[in-house]
Amino acid sequence: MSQTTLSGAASGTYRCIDVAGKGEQVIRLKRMGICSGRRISVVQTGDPMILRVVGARVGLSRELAGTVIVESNGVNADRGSSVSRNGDNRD
Amino acid sequence: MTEVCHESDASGQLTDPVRPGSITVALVGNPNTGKTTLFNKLTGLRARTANFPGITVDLRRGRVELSSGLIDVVDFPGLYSLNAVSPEEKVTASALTGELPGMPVSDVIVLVLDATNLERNLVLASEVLDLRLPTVVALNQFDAARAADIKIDVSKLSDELKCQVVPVSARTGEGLDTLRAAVDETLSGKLSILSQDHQSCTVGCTGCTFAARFDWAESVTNANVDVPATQGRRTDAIDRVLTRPIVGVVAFLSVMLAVFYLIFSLASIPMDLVDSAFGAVGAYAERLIPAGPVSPGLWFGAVFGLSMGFFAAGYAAAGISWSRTSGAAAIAVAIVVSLLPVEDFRSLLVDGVIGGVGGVVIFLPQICILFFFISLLEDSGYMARAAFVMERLMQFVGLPGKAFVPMLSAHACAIPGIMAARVIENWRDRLVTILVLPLLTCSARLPVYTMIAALLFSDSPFNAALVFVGAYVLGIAAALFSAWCLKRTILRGDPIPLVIELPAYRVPSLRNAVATVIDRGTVFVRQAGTVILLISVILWALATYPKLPVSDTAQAVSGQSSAEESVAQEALAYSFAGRAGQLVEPIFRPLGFDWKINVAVITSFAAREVVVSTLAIVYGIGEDSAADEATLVETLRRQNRPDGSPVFTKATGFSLLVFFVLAMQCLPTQAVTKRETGSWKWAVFQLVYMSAMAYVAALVTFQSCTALGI
Ligand SMILES: Nc1nc2c(ncn2[C@@H]2O[C@H](COP(=O)(O)OP(=O)(O)OP(=O)(O)O)[C@@H](O)[C@H]2O)c(=O)[nH]1
Ligand SMILES: [Mg+2]
Repeated sequence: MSQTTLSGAASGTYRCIDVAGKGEQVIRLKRMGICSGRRISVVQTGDPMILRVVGARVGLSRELAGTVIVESNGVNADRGSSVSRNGDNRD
Repeated sequence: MTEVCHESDASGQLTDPVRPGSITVALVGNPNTGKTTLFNKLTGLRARTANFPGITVDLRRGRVELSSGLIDVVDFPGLYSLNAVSPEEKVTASALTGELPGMPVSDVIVLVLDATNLERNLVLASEVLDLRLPTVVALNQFDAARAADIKIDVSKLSDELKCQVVPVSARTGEGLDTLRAAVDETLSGKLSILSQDHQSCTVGCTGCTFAARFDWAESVTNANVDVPATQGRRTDAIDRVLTRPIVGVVAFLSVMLAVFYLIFSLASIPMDLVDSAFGAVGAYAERLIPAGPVSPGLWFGAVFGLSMGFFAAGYAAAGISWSRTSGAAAIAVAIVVSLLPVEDFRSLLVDGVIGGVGGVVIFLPQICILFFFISLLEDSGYMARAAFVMERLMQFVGLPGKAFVPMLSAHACAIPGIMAARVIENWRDRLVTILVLPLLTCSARLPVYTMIAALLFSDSPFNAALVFVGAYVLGIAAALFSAWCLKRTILRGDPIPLVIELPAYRVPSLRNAVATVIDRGTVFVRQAGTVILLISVILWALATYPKLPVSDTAQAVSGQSSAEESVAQEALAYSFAGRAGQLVEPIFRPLGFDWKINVAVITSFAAREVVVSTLAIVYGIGEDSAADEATLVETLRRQNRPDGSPVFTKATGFSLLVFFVLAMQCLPTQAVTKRETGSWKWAVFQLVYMSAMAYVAALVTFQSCTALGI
């Protein structure tokens, strides 16, 4: 599994590893669901690009996409697998 | 960033204070979950926009009848997280934590969640629930979720969240009774939600709290919600067309073109009506005032009463309370007005007051129609796509894609443009947009352009058309250039890269559109209207006083053939406005203006379209013939300077045109800028920089035209 940033990512499904931006921009990304552990699908490439994340479509500039580190999921993993890894480590 | 908008008068009083002791319910939730729709449904269309000192964000407040009595409902701006970014979100977040001055923490929070996308909404929900305020969850858009075959186990969800969850549909009204009952119960403290923790707690989770909250949201959703795989297909399919780089821009421009066509074709009817209605009212008032002598006591009483009534209405509209100062001001002005000679009072009433009110109301049709369409487009989910496709083009001047719709709107009228700039989440970008919007050619400039184009090229329609196009292009270029400069100087800041949710497409709600129109219209009339009226009266006084001495009047009449026109001409020249025009002559001479043009420039400070009628008066044609463009243009052409050369050379014409394209001559716009930025500082800045730019550009135009022998 290779790590890349979202800016060069082709259409497909990824898992977010980290957001490397600064200050407020990180909050803007994270509260939209572009946050470690989430599954992110690139729906449309370009600048700005369109992602599907946590059930919604999000438009994102390439500049910010460059701060999002993702891991290719290989074959499109379905919902369950990404959850179990990140599990509910509370309680 | 917020300092900027919190700067203004923080000590001021609430114009619409929260009644002490009244019970308030706050509607809180992600953007687009249906808070406003729910609010409109709960309160009817009687809601009011409340204004808070120090913040430029409007909060709509309404009443709803519950069994525990009449309670206040507040519709808060949507937010994704209590880690707020935009000024709107900061207001909601600070209201929830009790940090909003003048606004006690609400008694009950109604957390509005979108049932069609619960997982995303649960992140904010977990933050709000962590505040441990009395909370009821309204699971909104339940109709849409049902139609999409999304199955939610409401009672299990309620157990998980440890608070009441009520499925509702703000569209259809389904479940609203249960929601009211749940709020009632929570108010009376029957539900003990405070004692228990829900499970989202981030204690013990390492790293980012967002990740933990999203994990929690996902697990809760997986356990309680069953979403079919086809969810969102329709939106995906539409977006495949509408968000394409070129097709998307073309589609957007076509939509806006259609909207503009409708605005211009629809607005002219009510605008003409307003115009003739106020003309008729003015004529009626003129006839009503007795020409002959009346008993002074009776006259004083009647006029004093009328003036006080007017002040009462104005104060009520602007939300000014009757204090010792405001009361004394009203009484003093009413006494002065009652002591005016009958002639002056008639002129004040007809030209100052009725004309001033008319000048406010005339803007309403365009504001209303524009906001009607903006509301429909926003409700449908399309506006987010518009911002998305325009993003790359707008980045060239350092503004976000969301600035495009306000800029386009400003081509009808700057006021709705400025009011629409709120969608821009970054305060700096919003401010830059507001500051440059009045440079774009609004419809009020068209009569001025028409006059100048006719002056310059009455023989060549093609050249006249070029003048129009040139004026539009100059306005756009000046706005983009100013934005670019502002972003690099006093409002320096990196461009904010785009992150925008593209909500699912929905059929827009007519009811919401009507509510928006009523809201924007009243905000304009109440808050800009009173200022505009005040300054109209001041300008009337400047153009009327001091009065021409009677002997001079007689002389003017005897010397001229058209008596009435020449009296008006002499009187204006003798007034403060006329004297100011002569006083500033040295300043404007390098622009090719003579003192008569200066008078027109001064009086058109409040509203630029006035320039046409003022020119008609100063050049002695009479106000009425201003409507007859051919006569006016002919007369203006014949005017000579003292040295015998014509006043309106091509160079003067171009210089005047450039001046009117760039100058800030619209009081209503200034009043709205003040309102939206929260301080007069930015309105004054706007006036100063635009006037300076207009002066310099007109100077360059005149001097280079003269040098080139044009
Ligand atoms: N089908 C359906 N649509 C709804 C319902 N409630 C709201 N909508 C639609 O959802 C969209 C957003 O509604 P708004 O009321 O403007 O949402 P909001 O929460 O006020 O949004 P912000 O003010 O941006 O935070 C509109 O198109 C509404 O017509 C509902 O119960 N059912
Ligand atoms: Mg709303």
